[in-house]
Amino acid sequence: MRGPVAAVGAILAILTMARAALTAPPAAPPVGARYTEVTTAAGIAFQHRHGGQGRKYYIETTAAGLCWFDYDGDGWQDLYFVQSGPLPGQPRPPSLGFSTLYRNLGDGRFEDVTAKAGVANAAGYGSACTSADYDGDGDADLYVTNFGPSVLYRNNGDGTFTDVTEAAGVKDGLYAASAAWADYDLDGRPDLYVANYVDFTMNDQKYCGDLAANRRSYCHPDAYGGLPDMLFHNEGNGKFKEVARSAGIWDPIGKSLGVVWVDFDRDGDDDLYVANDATPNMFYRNDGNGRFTDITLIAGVCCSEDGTPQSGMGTDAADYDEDGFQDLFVTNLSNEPNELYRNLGGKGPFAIVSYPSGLAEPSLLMTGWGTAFLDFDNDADLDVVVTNGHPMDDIATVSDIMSYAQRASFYVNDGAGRYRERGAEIGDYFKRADVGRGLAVADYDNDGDLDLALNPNNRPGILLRNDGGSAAGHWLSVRLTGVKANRDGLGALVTVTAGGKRQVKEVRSASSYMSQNDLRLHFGLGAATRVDQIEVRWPGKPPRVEKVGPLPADQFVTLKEGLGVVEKRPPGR
Amino acid sequence: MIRFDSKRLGSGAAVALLTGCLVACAGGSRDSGGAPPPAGGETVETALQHADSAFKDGDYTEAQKGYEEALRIVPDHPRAIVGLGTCGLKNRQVKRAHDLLVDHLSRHPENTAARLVLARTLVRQAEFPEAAAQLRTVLESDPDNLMAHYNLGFIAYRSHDYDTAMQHLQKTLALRPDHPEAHYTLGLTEMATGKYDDAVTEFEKAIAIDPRHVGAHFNLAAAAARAGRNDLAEKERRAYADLSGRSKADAEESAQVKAASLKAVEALMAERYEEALAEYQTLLAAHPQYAPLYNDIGRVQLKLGRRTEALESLKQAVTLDPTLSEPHYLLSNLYHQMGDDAASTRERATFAALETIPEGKSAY
Repeated sequence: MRGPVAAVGAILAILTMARAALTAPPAAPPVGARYTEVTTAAGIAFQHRHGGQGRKYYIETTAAGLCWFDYDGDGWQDLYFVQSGPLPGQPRPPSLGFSTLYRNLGDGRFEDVTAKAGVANAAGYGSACTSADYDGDGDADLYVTNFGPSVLYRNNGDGTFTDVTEAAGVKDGLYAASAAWADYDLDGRPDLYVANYVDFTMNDQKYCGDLAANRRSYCHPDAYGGLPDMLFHNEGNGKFKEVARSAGIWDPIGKSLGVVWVDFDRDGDDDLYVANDATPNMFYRNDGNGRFTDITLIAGVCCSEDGTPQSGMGTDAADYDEDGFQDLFVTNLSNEPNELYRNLGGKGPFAIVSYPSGLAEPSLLMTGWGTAFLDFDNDADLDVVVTNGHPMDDIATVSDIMSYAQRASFYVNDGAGRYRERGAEIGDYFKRADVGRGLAVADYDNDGDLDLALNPNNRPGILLRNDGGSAAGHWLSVRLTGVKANRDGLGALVTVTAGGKRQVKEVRSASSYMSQNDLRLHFGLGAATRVDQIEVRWPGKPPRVEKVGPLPADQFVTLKEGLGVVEKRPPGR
Repeated sequence: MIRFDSKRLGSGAAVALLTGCLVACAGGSRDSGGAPPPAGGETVETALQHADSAFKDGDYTEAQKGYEEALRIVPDHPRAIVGLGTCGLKNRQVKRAHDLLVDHLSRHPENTAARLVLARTLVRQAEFPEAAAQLRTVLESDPDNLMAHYNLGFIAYRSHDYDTAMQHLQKTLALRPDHPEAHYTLGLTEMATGKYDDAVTEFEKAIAIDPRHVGAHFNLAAAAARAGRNDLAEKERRAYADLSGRSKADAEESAQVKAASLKAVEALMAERYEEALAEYQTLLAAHPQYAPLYNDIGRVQLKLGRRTEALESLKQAVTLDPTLSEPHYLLSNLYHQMGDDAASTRERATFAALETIPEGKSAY
């Protein structure tokens, strides 16, 4: 009987292969744009250092982020890299630079203005940054989180900043990770959320690894306890009040790394999603009265599909499936997929669609950190970028299928919400391994496509220029200026209608991993040369809706609350 | 036939394959080619017994040595190959295990157990179509292989080939109606296709077999909510919270201590040890049975050079919770400083046993 069985098996195998060939996904069209590494040419020489010297302090693993923001208001995005090292208590070697502010000169080059600006964060072991005009005086302020006391820099409006941390009351003082501004109570003043990580201290260095083999490794977060996050309410007099308990978001167990404010139910106020490492992610619905309700379990966004907490690192929110509601994405540790949670109409539940979307499988051997939804090729759908790198620098000694440095991933949307990892086609940087951490997106050269900056752990900072994106499709960039609403328009929902398609984006400060993107909203428009309408729902009580249009594509527009379009700029300016 | 329209799947499948691993790695193979050759058979059996015993104790490094010894005596011994391959998975030497099994199967394609372990190594490398191909090969010679059917169903689900997933999972349940994972994965498949009532049914069956199935409770809550059965959804959310340690009751003391110890943590970060100690001692008065607090206090006392007090605090910590690893480490150092090397060695060994578990908690 073996002969016929074998023959049948062979036929089945052939049929299987034939069917696989017939049903294989069609070859993807060439990518519409590429990224070119221009770090040195742009004058950026930042080198992140964790300060480690072999004792494997836990803080060496988390590293730092970076922020795009226009600190001098000249219309060009400036770039701030957060430095970590030296380790607390250790002297700073001359070669170890500070956190660095690079002013965008508008010609593709940057100038280090850290000393003049006074934002070196010299006393801190830095983690994250986030920027907003918290005092409503017309310029961008900067908050930098640290392992230990964090720092609020108020912009003086003349290219310099003043450390106002003590007076403002936003020091935090714990092991802070990401932070993000949002006007959660719609009083027109940005408030500040600070995600705190674990209760590690330099005096609490535990031994992890293989004692018998004398191999000391970085600890897993399970070795430490969580910390509560802080919500600083902006009192409007230059001072903040910590209100996490009274607001209902007190979680002393969580080990928070990533945070994103997102109006998931489109009720006009920002809800809060927190990515936690080795503890369940948390999701809080804004009740509209200064309080939040924990809806993590109702939403089903805590965990893996099996209900298991994962190692949340970075997070972002966007309407990837174009149904008008913001979805959530979280990066995780290797052996855990990065998770895409699809918002089911803003009513509460989300569906976990990581595998059907194509975002899960290529992430399994990677540890993801910084991430962003972005339309890099202006084809009117959202692509996804993720930086990768394992926390353990000696992972290769204990696993023969994982590495410390890992390629960053770039997932291209096929237009139907299905993603394919195509980093190798996108640019040389995506072919080489790096120890990815912070990632931030901006159109730094104002040419109509989205560029990237990265802050890898203990490695040089990276600037990747988008080449070809603005030629691949039309686009529109929208900047908001609030009047009654907070000045940056944080929490505003902008709907752009063009080419028969409606795209909904929200203005938000930080996301990704310890990082902040360009506050301007970038809309890829594909073949549409005209925008039919821009609808802005300004944050406020009640929300105010304004509509403008039609107007031509391929320009930067500024909308001021109550006044419509107040500025139009062509690309390159 | 299975259609895979994506190259790789997920780590959940690794878990799925792990579910059936013990049959392959410790219990041997029914298609393993029979007993080893007589020459050296006793020694092989001794080596295998030693390896199996170590494996069951979770000492995979020692088990690996045993299986390697068996293979030294009888190269290609089918059960030793399976054991060594499984140890490779446990010891995170996945590529090595993969290469070993591929080499072995080139000479002994009939070793079904080895092929199942090979499928596991492929899953761990996120090579899901290749893993499925190995599982289909198993079915060619053993059409009723439960593990192959279940895992093909799981991989097809992950590949969103839901028809194929249904076929293999229903076959699994025909072979073993009380297979909780098959009911669970069938429930996931029903939910993915929008059949929420059917999903509820399957999750309830999984829970009936395994009442502590966290994933089934988690997804039953979601399926019930989408089916409009809000009472059931709420009940299952509570069940999930309890099972996953997320209930307020479970977390209450830890949360209270954590919340109250912030001042101590801040004081520690600022090296204000006396202040930190006072904070912890205040907390201890309210939570006298909370072992980690004794460890925290002992650690601060060490910073202050109060060895005798630290010794008592740390001993109390391990008395209250013998599974706490850090006080053993601190005690080891403390005993060493106090000249009691025997006690130091004992504590260090206890710490090592608690901490250095492969794939355990101490490192990634």
